Amino acid sequence: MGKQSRLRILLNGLIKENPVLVLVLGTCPTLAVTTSVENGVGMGVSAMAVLVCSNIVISLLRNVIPDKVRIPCYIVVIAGFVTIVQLLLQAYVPALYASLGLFIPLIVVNCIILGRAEMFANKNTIFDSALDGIGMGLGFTFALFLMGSMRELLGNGTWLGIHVFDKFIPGMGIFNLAPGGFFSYAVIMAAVTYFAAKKGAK
Amino acid sequence: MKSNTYKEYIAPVVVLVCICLVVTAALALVYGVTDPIIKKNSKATADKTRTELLKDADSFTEYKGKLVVEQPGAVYVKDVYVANNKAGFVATCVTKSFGGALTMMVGVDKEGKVTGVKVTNHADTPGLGTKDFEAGYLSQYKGIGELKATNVKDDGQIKFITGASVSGSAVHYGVYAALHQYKDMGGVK
Repeated sequence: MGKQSRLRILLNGLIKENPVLVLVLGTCPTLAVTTSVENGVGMGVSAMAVLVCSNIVISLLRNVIPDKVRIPCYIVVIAGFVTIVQLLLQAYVPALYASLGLFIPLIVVNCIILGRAEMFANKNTIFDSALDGIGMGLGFTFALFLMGSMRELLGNGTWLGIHVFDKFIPGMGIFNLAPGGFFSYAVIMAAVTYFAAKKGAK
Repeated sequence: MKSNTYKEYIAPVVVLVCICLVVTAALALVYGVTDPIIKKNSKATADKTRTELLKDADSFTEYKGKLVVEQPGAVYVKDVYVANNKAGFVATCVTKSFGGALTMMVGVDKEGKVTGVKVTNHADTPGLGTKDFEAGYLSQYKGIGELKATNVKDDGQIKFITGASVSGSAVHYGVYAALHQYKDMGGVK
């Protein structure tokens, strides 16, 4: 595979095949954790780490795993990975664990990871799968960052904890709740689709 | 035909079992290495939190008497450490919140008033609910000697956050249990 297409694998996840905004994967963690920018980015980065590792392992085992039992195999590998990462963080980086700890169990049920194992890692080489993991992870983090920014700004009047206008106008509480999550998701998704279509038409 | 049976039925089972065994072995290994460190870390954190919650205390000794159980298996006092200079005690309470068990520590002084509350472990999704675990919200409990209800909405003493009352009530019930413990112990002796 040439350099050109490797770059494409990496960039695909950002906009064109963004896992959240285009492929509509991982919706549950997206809606749940994006009440603030910090939470969104924390979830995005932890999911990316697991995604890259699980993509590598599944790509490594792609010729060993029989088709019939591939899904249980992926789940065992992913859940094992997540638990190992959780234990290691808890033991050696307790400060990081204190801020990310809550997101880690949520990663097991993140369907982006299972989705990429099924759609990409079991058909491609280790290196390409790792690149796909990084690209998709960045795309996920980017989408969570956008959602988190919108919800924190409108819901709290702050951005990344910095006071923007919360001292003058109180935030709209609904953006901190589930309905606000759906509103923001729809608006951002529509905007991305609009720009993608415009670019495609040119 | 024979090789077909192998491919169809035996190979998938063997591979899946092998993967499970490898993952389990890896987990057991990592757990064995990290568990003592995690336990040591959490003990150090717990000691630090106790001193933070009850600033007048010098050192602590574990209370060996009866501990309060509000709801068996759901809401109870897990341990109580009494200050050696009798300034008060710090109770570790377990209550039930949105995401399951929630562990918190409550400092109570010798007059039976809350000196501080800190949530040390919970499984709630970060966001609105976890606002009830922030220092600003929890500081409302400081100086309170009696709670009228186990539910934050019925009590009226605490300004709770709308839409996050499950977590708020979990914290409230924990403080309630700690104050109940003070009464049962008949003060700090």
